Amino acid sequence: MKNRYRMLAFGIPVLLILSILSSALVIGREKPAELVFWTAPNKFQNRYNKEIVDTWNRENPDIKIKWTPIPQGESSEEVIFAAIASGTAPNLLTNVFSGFAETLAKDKVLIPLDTLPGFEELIKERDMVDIIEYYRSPDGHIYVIPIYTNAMLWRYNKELLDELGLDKPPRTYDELLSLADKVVVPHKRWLVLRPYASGWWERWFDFMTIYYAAGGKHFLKDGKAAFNNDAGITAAKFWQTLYKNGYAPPGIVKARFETGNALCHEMGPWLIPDTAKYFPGFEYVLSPPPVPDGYPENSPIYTFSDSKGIVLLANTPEEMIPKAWKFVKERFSLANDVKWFEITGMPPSRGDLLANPAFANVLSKQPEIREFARGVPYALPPPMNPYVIETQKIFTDVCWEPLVYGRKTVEQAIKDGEIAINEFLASQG
Amino acid sequence: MRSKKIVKWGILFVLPYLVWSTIFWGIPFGWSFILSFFKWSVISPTHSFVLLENFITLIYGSPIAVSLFVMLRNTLYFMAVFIPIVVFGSITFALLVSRIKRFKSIFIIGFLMSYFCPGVGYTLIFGEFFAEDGLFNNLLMNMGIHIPWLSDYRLAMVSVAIIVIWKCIGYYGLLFMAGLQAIPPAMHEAARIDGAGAWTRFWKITVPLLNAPLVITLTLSTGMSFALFTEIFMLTGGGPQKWSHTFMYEIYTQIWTYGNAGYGSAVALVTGFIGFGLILLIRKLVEREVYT
Amino acid sequence: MKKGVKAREKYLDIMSYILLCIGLCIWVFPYLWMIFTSLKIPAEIYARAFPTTLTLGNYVSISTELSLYGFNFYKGLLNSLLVAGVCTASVVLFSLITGYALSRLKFRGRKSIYSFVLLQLFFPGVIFIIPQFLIVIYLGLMNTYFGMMVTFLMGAFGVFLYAQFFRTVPQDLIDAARIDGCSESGVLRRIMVPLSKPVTATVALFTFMSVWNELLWPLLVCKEPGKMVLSVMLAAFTKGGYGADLGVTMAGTTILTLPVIIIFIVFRKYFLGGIVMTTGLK
Repeated sequence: MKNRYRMLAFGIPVLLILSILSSALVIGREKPAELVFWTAPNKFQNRYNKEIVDTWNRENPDIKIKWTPIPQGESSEEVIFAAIASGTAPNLLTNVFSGFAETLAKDKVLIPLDTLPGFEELIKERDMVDIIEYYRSPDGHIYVIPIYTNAMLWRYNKELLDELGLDKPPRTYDELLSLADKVVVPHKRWLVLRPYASGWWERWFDFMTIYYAAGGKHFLKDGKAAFNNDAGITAAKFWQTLYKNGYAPPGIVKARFETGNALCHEMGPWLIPDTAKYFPGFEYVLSPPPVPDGYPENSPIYTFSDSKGIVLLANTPEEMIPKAWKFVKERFSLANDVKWFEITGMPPSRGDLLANPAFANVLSKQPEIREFARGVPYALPPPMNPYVIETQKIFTDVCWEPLVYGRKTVEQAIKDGEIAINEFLASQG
Repeated sequence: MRSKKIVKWGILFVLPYLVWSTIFWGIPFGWSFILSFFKWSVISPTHSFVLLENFITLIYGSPIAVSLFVMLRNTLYFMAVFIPIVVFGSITFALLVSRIKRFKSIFIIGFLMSYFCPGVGYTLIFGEFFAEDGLFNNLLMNMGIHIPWLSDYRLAMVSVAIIVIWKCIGYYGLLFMAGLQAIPPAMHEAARIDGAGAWTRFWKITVPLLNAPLVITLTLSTGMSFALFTEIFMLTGGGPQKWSHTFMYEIYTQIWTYGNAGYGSAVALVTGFIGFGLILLIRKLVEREVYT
Repeated sequence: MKKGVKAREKYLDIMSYILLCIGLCIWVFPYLWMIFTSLKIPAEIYARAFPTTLTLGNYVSISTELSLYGFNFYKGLLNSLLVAGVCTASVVLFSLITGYALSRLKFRGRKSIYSFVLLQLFFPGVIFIIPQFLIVIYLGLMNTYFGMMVTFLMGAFGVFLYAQFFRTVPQDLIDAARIDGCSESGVLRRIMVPLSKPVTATVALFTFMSVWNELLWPLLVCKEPGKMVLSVMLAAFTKGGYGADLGVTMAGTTILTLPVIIIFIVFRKYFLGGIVMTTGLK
């Protein structure tokens, strides 16, 4: 027993000293010998990326590209943070959404792409002059070029629509909710298959989609919360009604939509090949998200854009930057965009999808994609704010969850969310 | 000289372990104290000395950190469900298995297997059972009942407890079995001769003499309650409404999502101390010298 | 009077068997469900309890399904084997020599070091994870095999077990060997190692098991698909929501789970012994 105390008395100061010394140790990383390119882990994207990387490596044997798909933990952003921390970050990275690019840019991790030669021409050629403005940082630079824009639409089970005697999907909240009596079987069949999920990114697919459709323009603006308005409250009320009445599941549902367990749910274009593969023959109808009653008939309906882009990291050695940039520009060529569209089914972030004949082939092969292509100009990405992840987490905890579980009124929840987010953003300076 | 050679070998043999322990046990031990006084980001190279700020945030919580109260409440809630059931269950299991003559091994193995099952494995399986439209609800549907196993904030921790009970009963049962075997049959015989019934014998002889395995079981259970991670990570994400957000899960979130090594260390230290303190308390309250 | 007691005893015996059988069925059910589901064809997974057609298709497609997302399933299996195997070998080796030295070789500081080992057994691991993580980052061991192994290469538990065991070896045996001209390393090799086989088995089995089952540490350290261990791979795959069907997921779970269960059943003697030894600790 005495020995133990002696050990402690002697050991702890030694350990403390050792730790202080060792904490000063930061070993430098070596520069990479080739360009490291990380992409989203998705089977179709992998097929595409493999093709373009192989082509590049054939044509540019002097600077090869080492390509790896990154896995996700809860979200790929965490993987990137760890990689940056340990000096194993890539040079080129896709699957970066607007807010995340801001986060990285704030820490000076990214190269401003608009400072590289040929940027303006690239944007014009790709017909994204308007689209790119969504991705301009507060400091005026562009750090990320969106590859694709997935306009979130809602899809309806055609069989159920037919049963209900509808030839087209309901347009407004009232129209949709009025179907509940005929559709909902408690715990077996839902009106809207959107289980409540606590991940911060889930808010894109429930609140933000409906909020943008209801006419909301910004979630965050100028470093403050911007959703405490009519559109925000109406959107939130819609969801609260769904959860309160059991029209939407309160938790994980394992069975997929295609098994007929709901009337509708939100859908991105990546599900088109997925449904075709696992549930061939399943029929569905696409439509923009429901809008508040009283929404003008001929107004365009906006929606959320699940959009990711490519960034170039500042850890790239100077002499390799021109080559890396060349790769980026080539990737956005018309031919590659068409190939992307064909293989992944996700609309490239271009304004000319419906007009440009090069895309006609792809669009005709799968009529569902037309709807998504149509939505591209009306799809709003997440806010260009470095704290998107934190603010969405706060929104989930303070506003969304209590609202879903009926513990707060919508007005209270939205107001609390606004206050909490503003407090947080203010404290970040 | 023989002893000089022995000394040389002795030092040689313990050296690797000492070096390893210093780097991976000693330094982390000391460093975790230091870290907890800093705001230490894993990503950016700036570190700032913030003294007690981490601990204050821990107590009151913040928009991006769950408060100590919530995590402690969740853990205690878990323990309140888990411990009584698991103790009762393991003692029952031990009594039953001690009683039967044949097939003992089969039963022991069957119940013990679950302790060695990989966490990812059994959480995936139970996740399928506990889903809104999962196996359990499908069966219950026939009786017209539906239980929101993971989506009701009051039940989420209970469901986790069910999983951990499944996991641990065999293991704790084994400890009690060893304890039962240590009770000399002579005592029961003597009591029986004195006219004591089975019930009386159980409470006056068996239970007190099971004190040692009981203390061990309580210690292990408490340790387990404070280390809950995989179930939370795979199934509940800390929800609903943070009612299953445990200490380990918070540490993971802080270091992984926010890169707050300093804050994470503060949480870890507090967790360690509370857990340790609770174990000491339990030992003090329950442990008794037992004379056979 | 005696007849009544006997009858009641028999009744209680039968009840015990019945209760235990019911319990056993419940306890083993999750495994059975897992195995059955992994053998079902997609159409039947939600439809029926027992499959009418058994198929190994899921075990084949788990490799292709995961590789579509950049995960190499069977590589993950190998990675788990590698990490667990190396750690096991390392723990056995170093625990053995350290335990031996601490219990049988006289040198200064021996008692203090032994106290240090015991001290390590006391502290809950939670405190160490973050600094260990930082150390791994600063040493450049992120996303490496070594990084995943590093915190499991040695353990106080093994040292303690070996030390306790070697204490029981009669000193005469060692003295006799030394007189016969045996070197120190010879003593180790020819006497200690063979003698301690049971301890070795226990330490090896427990170490392999706990490293194979581990999620948190490899989750923190390695996210590169090529080096991921199986537990992390399955976790990342299912949490990422990649839409594989349940049969495939259960096939993966079976491959993760079954090996350790089989090892447990085959070597149960050592596991039971090890559990008893740990209780001696407390």
